[in-house]
Amino acid sequence: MTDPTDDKQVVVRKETPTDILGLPRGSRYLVTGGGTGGHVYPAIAIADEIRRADPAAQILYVGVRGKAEARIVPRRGYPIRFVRSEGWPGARRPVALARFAARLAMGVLKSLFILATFRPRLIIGTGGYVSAPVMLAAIALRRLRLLSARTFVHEQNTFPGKLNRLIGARVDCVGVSFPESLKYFPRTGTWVGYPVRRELGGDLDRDSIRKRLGIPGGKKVVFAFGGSQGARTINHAIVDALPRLGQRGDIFVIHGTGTFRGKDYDASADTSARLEALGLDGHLEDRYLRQDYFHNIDEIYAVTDLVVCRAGAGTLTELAARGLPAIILPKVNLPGDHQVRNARALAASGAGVVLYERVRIAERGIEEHVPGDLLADAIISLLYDPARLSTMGEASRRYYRADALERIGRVLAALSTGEAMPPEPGSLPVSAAGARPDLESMGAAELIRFLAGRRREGAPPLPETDVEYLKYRADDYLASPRWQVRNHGVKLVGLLGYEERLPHLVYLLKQRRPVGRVLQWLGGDFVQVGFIRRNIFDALIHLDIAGDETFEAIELGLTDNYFEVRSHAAQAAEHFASRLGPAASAIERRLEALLDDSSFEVVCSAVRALGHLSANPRIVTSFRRFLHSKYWRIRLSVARALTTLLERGVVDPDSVKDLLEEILITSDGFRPHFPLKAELKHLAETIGAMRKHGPHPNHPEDTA
Amino acid sequence: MIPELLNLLGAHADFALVRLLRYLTTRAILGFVTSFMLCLVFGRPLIRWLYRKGFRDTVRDYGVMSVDDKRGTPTMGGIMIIGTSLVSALLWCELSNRFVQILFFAGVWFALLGHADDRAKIARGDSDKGLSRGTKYALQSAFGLILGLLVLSPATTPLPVALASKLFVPFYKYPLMDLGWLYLVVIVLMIIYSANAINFADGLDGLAIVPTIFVLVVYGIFAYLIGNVSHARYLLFDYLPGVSEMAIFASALVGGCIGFLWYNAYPAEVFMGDTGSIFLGGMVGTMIVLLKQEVLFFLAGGIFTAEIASVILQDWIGIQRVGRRLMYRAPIHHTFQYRGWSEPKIATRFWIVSGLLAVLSLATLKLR
Repeated sequence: MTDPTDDKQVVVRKETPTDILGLPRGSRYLVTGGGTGGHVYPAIAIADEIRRADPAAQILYVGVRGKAEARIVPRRGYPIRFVRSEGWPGARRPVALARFAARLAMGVLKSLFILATFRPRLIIGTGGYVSAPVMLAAIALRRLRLLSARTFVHEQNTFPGKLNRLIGARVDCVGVSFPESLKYFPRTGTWVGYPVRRELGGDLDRDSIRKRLGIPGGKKVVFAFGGSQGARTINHAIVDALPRLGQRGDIFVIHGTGTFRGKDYDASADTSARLEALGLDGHLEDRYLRQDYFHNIDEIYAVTDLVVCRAGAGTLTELAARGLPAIILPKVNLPGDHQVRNARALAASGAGVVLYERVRIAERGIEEHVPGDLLADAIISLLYDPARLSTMGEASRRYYRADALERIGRVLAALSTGEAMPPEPGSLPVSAAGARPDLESMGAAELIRFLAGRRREGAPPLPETDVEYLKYRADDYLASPRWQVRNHGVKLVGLLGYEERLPHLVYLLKQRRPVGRVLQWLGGDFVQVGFIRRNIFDALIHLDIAGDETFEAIELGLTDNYFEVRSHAAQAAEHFASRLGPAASAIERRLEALLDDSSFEVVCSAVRALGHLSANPRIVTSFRRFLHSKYWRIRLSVARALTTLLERGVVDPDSVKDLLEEILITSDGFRPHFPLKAELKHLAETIGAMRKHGPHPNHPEDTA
Repeated sequence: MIPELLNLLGAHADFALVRLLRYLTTRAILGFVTSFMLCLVFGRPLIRWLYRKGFRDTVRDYGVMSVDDKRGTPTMGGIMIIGTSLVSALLWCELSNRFVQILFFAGVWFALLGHADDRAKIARGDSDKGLSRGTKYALQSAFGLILGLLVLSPATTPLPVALASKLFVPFYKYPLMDLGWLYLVVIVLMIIYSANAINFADGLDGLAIVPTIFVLVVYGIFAYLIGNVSHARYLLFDYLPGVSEMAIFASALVGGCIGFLWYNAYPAEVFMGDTGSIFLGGMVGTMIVLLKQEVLFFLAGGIFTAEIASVILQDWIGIQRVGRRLMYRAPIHHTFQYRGWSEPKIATRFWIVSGLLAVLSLATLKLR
């Protein structure tokens, strides 16, 4: 209480006329951000909050011409100026990259000019590439000490985009919507929540709303919607789910189709057609309500028990504000996969269940969908588990910072007056989230290394939600036009034990569509390149499904024209040797043919596989030609195969003994061994054990 | 330095021993002996120092240490070659010779580049994460450009102006063509090629160093002969005054390499690291350009040619574009390892081949 700094702060507040938040009056604020409504609305909400706190504030919005902000911002009564900017096009497109750099540079130049003339006190960015020019210009001017304005960035999603990460590390403060994203801004981050515009709360009497909407008493209400535009996946899935939901009799579905009317999709008409096709039209009045758009969505939320929705940060915040549990169908293939990350963060906190769009690799191209039955089952299992539903609702509420705008206001006030930041809120709601591996941030190769490592160490299986997510990633990779990416998908299928994809692997193997002339000339053959075909066999071994599809694949692989495929197919034959059944004889014939293969690697694999597979003692004579092979690795394989044959009782010891004495022994097959390192390792382990258990690990009573 | 010191003494030092020291061949032999002996003397302390400083082939955790590979062995042993050969060359070369000056410049440039690469690898604990490929090529090309401008502009070239931009090939007496300033491209590519060639070959104990020694011997002999009026005339080479001084440099390098091989022979006590391989590659490349024997390197350094060709074929074409292996493994010595050849056997066979190629290269002196 006697701290002199306390007094000083009080004095400061007395001298400058301020409002409750402490923002100095009449200051200039520059707000920027946009590209999509998801970035614009939070910016508007913050601007409104500033204006509410200080009606004399001068606010200037900076955006990109022709984007969402150009439509929305003038209607809200803020002046807007435009700069050039463009989204990150990806490192692989040099022309687009050059255009990106040029546009950004022009945007930065114009922003420098705007900053120099407007001289704001605070600069607020809400992300997206739109805010990049102004923020970069501001950072540069601050570095050069030509600008005193403080900088604040608001991050809406759980996973910040490239530009936001770059900029976020260099601004004064980053306000994040979800506690998970604090880890990306260790120095500047603070959890403020997602700013939602203050709306007047209407009279939300559940009973009267239910009556008005025509929801019969006693029915549980599911609200499915895909945002104001609508989402094809959700519209399809919820309609497809209706028959099964109807069987329960007490489920009422409210469906917001969205207003989207494009040339290949019209949300409303498409939904009608789908209902008709299912023969549901006209039989639904007491359990289904459909509208393009709900003008007072708060009323709908008030009567809803469970929500089916996309994973935009705004939507999730609305749910959290009302403590609603949700089944989330994240939109895939967005930049940084941010909807999937949002959804998984929410699910990890216990507030929702994630259903991934299944990528159907159809002849016409890629199609994303969620099967209606899957959705129906998820809805039913949650609705009929009230205890779970209410814990989910609580988790959802915990996820929400109702005071997001107040908190942002306090942060802005602290920034503009140079006071200390308001303290972090106490406990984070998702403490367990820090412990889980950050799968979303792993690239494909890293993910594969991670999973292969777990498999090697015999680690326990990943949680079901993680596996679901990774299966979705695998599907996404499998659908890629680039073989390098499809190859990752094939590996993931094996490592995840993604059994549903076995037919697809076999399909890839059988496809045999030739590559272009140039690649053929360089040694290529099929569009499903050698590596993919080879890795399919590793995946088959991991999947470990002994069935006709697998055996058909093996037969095909044994005659492939790429040596690694033949070799790995032989390894697969060895793996499934005891379970081949009627397929065994055909596979054995093909393996015997491989004994003449031009690649020693294939011969080795074939010899070993035959050791496990063959039931014919005559096989020993076909090994005879390898006894003096110049490759000791072939001789090694023969010796191993002979042992296996003996153990399996196919051949008698005498016939093998003859061969044993004939196998050429040379000293080139050796592996170095480093006894010093072995001893040091042992020493290190001993030290480690003693540190853990005290000086006498064998006599724990001594250490007491 | 010693020739200049002797000149300072002038007439006072005109007796037999001093005259002997002025001979090129004597100085070459002494250059070799000096760097070799320095290696023997300073080798072991250097290895201990490298280990203590943590310059090891990727950082080790005793718990997960594998007992059947060589990781953990000190690397950056190239410092041994660099230090001893540069000291020896400093002593025995005429420092006023333009060729020698260029070689010193190259030595410092590539030693620093290789060292930076090794440091990055050790700092990141991953032998695949040194300097980025782009950075390395850029710095190698930068040196190539400097060297090319030096050689091609008439004002600065240490070579006869008429010959500077002419391309010579083995087994053919006359220059193949005059490339003019296009020759700059040849020089830059040559420098990049040689600087990386030894780096790729440096995968097994003694594998890179011995072929390098053979190449240095070949070019040392070429330098000696082309820089001598009567030998050059007899062998129908264009006489390049002053280049014979490079023979001393080459023999100092050979001394350092053999001294390094003393420790690097299978199983190795120290690896040369990129410090060594990029330094040696840069030195060899510079020497080749100054002797105007670029094309011969593909024959004399046939092992390196095979290593690089296999990497281009396997990694750039096969693995990255076509989606399959075109051979078992690359660089080519890994193919033999995969086939079951043991490491010392591969190294010895590569030595034999590189020795034969060196003999063949020397034959081009007369077979023209």
